[in-house]
Amino acid sequence: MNEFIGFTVSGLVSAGLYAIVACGLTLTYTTTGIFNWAHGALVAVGAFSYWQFAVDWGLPTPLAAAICLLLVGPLMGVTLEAVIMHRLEGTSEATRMVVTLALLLGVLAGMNWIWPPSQQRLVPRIAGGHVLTVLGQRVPYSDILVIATGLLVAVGLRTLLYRTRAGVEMRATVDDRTLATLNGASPSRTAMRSWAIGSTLAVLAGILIAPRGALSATTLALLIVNAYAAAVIGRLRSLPMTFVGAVILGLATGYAQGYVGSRQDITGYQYLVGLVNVLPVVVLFVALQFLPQSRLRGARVLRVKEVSSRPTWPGTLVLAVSVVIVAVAVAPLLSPGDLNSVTKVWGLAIVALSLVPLVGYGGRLSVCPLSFAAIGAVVVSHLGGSGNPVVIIWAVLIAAACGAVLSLTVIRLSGLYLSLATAAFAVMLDNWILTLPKFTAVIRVPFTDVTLYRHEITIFEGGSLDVRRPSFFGVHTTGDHAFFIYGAVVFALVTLVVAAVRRSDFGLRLIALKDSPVGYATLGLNGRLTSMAVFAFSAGLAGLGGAVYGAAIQRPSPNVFSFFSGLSILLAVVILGVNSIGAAAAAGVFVGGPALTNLFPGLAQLSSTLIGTAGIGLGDNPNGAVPAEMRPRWRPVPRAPVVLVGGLAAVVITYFLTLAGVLGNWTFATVLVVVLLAMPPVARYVAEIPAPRPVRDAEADGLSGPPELLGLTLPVTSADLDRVSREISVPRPRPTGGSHGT
Amino acid sequence: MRQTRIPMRRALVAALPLLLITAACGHESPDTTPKSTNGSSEQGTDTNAQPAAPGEFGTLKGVCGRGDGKTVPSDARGVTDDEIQVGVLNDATSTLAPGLGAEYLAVAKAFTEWCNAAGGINGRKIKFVTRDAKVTEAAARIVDACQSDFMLVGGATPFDAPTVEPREECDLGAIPAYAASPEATTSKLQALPTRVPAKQANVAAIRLLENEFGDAFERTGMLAVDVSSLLDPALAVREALPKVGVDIVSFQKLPLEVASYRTYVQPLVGKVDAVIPPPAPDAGFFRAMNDVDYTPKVLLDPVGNTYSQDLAKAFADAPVDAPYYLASEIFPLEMADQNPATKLAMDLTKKTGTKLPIDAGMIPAWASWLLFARSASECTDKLTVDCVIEKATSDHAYTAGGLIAPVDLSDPTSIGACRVILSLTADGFTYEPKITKPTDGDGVFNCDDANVVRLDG
Repeated sequence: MNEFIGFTVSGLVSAGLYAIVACGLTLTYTTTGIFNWAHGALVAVGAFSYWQFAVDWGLPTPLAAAICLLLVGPLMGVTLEAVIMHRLEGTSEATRMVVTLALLLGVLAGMNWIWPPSQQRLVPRIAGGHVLTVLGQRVPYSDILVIATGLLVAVGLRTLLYRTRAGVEMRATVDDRTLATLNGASPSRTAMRSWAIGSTLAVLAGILIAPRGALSATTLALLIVNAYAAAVIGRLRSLPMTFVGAVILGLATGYAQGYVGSRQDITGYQYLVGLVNVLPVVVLFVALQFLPQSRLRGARVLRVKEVSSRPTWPGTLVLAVSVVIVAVAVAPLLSPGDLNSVTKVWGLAIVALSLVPLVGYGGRLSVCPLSFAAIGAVVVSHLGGSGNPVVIIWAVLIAAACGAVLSLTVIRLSGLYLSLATAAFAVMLDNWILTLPKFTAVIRVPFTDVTLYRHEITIFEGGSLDVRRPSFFGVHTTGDHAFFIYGAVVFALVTLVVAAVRRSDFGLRLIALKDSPVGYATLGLNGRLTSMAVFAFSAGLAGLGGAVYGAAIQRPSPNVFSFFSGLSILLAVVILGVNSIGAAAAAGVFVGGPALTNLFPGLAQLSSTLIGTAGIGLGDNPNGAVPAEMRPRWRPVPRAPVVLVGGLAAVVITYFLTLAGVLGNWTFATVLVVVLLAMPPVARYVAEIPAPRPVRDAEADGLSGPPELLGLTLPVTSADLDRVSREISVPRPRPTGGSHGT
Repeated sequence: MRQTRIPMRRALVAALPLLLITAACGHESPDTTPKSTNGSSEQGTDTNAQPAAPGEFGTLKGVCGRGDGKTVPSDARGVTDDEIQVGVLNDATSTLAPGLGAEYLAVAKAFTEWCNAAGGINGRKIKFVTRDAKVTEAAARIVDACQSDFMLVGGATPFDAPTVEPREECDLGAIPAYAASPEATTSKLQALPTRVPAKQANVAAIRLLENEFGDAFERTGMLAVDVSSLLDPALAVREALPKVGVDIVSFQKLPLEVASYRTYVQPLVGKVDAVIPPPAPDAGFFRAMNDVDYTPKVLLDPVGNTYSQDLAKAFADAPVDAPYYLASEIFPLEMADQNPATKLAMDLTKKTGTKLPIDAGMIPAWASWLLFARSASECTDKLTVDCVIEKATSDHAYTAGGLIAPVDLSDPTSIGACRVILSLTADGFTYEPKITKPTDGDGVFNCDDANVVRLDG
């Protein structure tokens, strides 16, 4: 009995922690409509700021806490809203997720720079470690404070949201911004208020959590993943339920560790130990299953329309062939170490490509591409001992089957909930399934001693897989050079497959489903089946990518396929353009290639800053950088063949000179960059086309300016009139006689 | 494994690749040295009154020097008439675990400066280059090293299984600071001065504390970290301890990032009397023990993973009213004044101006460098990788001049028998001669053969 009380008290102590963090997250979501994946980073900022004031600068503890709560918290929130969050108005779920993820990574990078992790930082205990004895258990006052604060926060926020005008205003703005404005609310001021309160709660959580041990930015930021379960139990809406969820989560973890995780005498304990460590995400996954079914929604009005252009066969073939040509061309220029590093690029690019049909065409926000890649790599490692390439087909099939099974469990979910469910799956796979010790699968005839099948299975045997590079028709890809080209060929083939899918009937269905599930269902089509199919297809592709990636590394360990590595691929793909095949290639190169960090080894933070700012810029145009910025700029180039040929010639000549050793790699890179930057403006000049303005807001419709200004401050052009006529389906009146039309 | 404990804890498994940054400089902690407490020093080694001759390191002679003036012929990669290029593996600029292995670069600088001042390796100066594996790029760094390095010395990386094939293929010799994976431990062209429990384990701590804490050992609890490079040694220890009468009633696997230690400490209450802590507990572990009012009869680290200043700080922050003992194969840094080799190593490292704490984690790197230099200096006929490795692995009782307990370099899976017992209090680490009962004459180590337990499988 004493033991039970002990575990209960421990569980409640964790619960208090989860409660404050989850309530802050729920509040932010309820009042701004944005699920802040970076909430944990804000908690970390709170903890470290508190350390900075209270320990490093030696201010008295109450003063330090006050500065953090009254100054740092609100300031952080207001800055976030002003710089980043207001751009997310009217954007899709994928964009919001990517932007907040980019924020998470950016903030963590900044924290590791300001407070280097090599130093141990300790914060003094609250209330000096004095304890209260309850039911024979010692509970430190600091922990009581945490639980009490959690409860107060839950109750207080509920009162704020439902009983005060400010709270009602916040909820109204999320519900229907326009209507709220008409009723006298000020959305921008409300948003600032919401973010300020949310950030302050995060800082409060940070201050309360800090005394639990040495400060670590990553731990604090990732702690939040466990708290998601509590927020979901509260259905991201009800704060008291969130608190209840936190209690359930805390108690479950406490009991699980106490009764299962620390015991050696339970059968199969070695398989359950890992499960205990991922229990919070298991609770999350289970909680998501019990969410009430959401109604089919109609087409959503987004501020900037997401465009998924139909890839043409010539365009795709050019991309595929040029990928292979570039691979063949670049390989001899690289140093052996770089070549070894760069073999990873194609596997990652295929994984990135697997996200295009799922997240791009289908709009199903799944964040576990590397999990299926891991499955693919495991299959190839276990079956492909002799470098047999046929194993890859098995990898694809098994990964696709797993994808189909997973999709069954998440079939009712969409948007944010789907991303949370797939995140839970990814973490479960990483931290439990992939690290299972070896077990024996036995199939026996029931009630007899006859064994039909017995096989000993170790998933990641001894910490790393052994993946052989394939050989076929006498071609061995064991060398880095050969494998690099092989990877490029596989990637090129996969791009053709994805383009074919996009151009097919199935592709049209995916886009229709993403656009309007209601319309899809009205036409009598089965949305769930389509959803399952695209999940399976994407998982199969990711499995293929994993097989190639695993073979590139040759001895991958589980951390290579971790959830957070997968997130950076997702980020790169969405930032560059999740509807675009070319963008996936670029994403793979960016994430997998050594280029940036090797070019400027002292500027490792450059790549993180780039991702951060690029992610934030995504708010302006969710179509991604490649379709929105790069394609419009490059459109004039084919129309000025002189420039195209000239540029190509310059690059080719420089390339052969570099190959011959006359010029260095740096010179070649410089020439390449200069040519690529110069070609679009020169082509435009030559073809005398005005510079394209990037697609924005109302101008997306082909008018030369915002419609309310046409005729007022801007001239109405002929093209405008054509556009309007087309829109209202009325033939444009032709000028009669000698009078001019306007 | 003392080398991967603290930085790995911070970020490794669930960390964000690529996009976390590190700063080379910054607000690092001021240079800390272990307090030099002599403890009961009547058994200390003789204080060396005269300064060591250049090229001598403690009891190790002929480490560096000009030789007989003639250049030793060599057609090995990385060797010119004036210089030998040596690569140092580390992960200092990694984004997953910034600063991991930075101490290897500090030791490399300290050693090469000292050695080159004493004449180098038979007249050839050592030039070291950093091979930063950034945790995930170990194989690529080996390929780089294969272009221009003679050998890899004094460094290491936690995920080293991918390094074995490329390294063996290009005949790149290695004397690393540690080997994490079983493949790396038994790889060719390698000498390994520092080992972790795998096929054998050292149980000196149990044997020497049996009298006082035999009862407590009947209810022992272990906490391990669920990362293969840290978990495998713990599993080996778990297999070894029952062979000397320890009953492990609780074995917990902690994630790399622990938010709340209380969850893992609570199950120990009332069930466990002897606690084997995880490899790098921070203050939270001890605070949690205070929170639940749990005082075991003894805290014990049989492998010596926790011998570090960070642990001492953590323990001092929230002292637990229970004795804490650890067994180490490193000559205690607190008694540096009594061991010329240790004092020299610490002084040389401090002289480089590094801001890193002068910690026990640096000693394996020193042991590697000394072995390399001594073995290379012995190759007077022709300087090749094979010769260096052959000379290195022929030493059956290598002590790195007195820095470490003797280890048999010919068998990379063997664990040395000698250990010293240190206790930890709020004032720091102290050598415990009455518990250690040293068997090596004037030394500090207990070298009873029964200290080593062989494991099956």
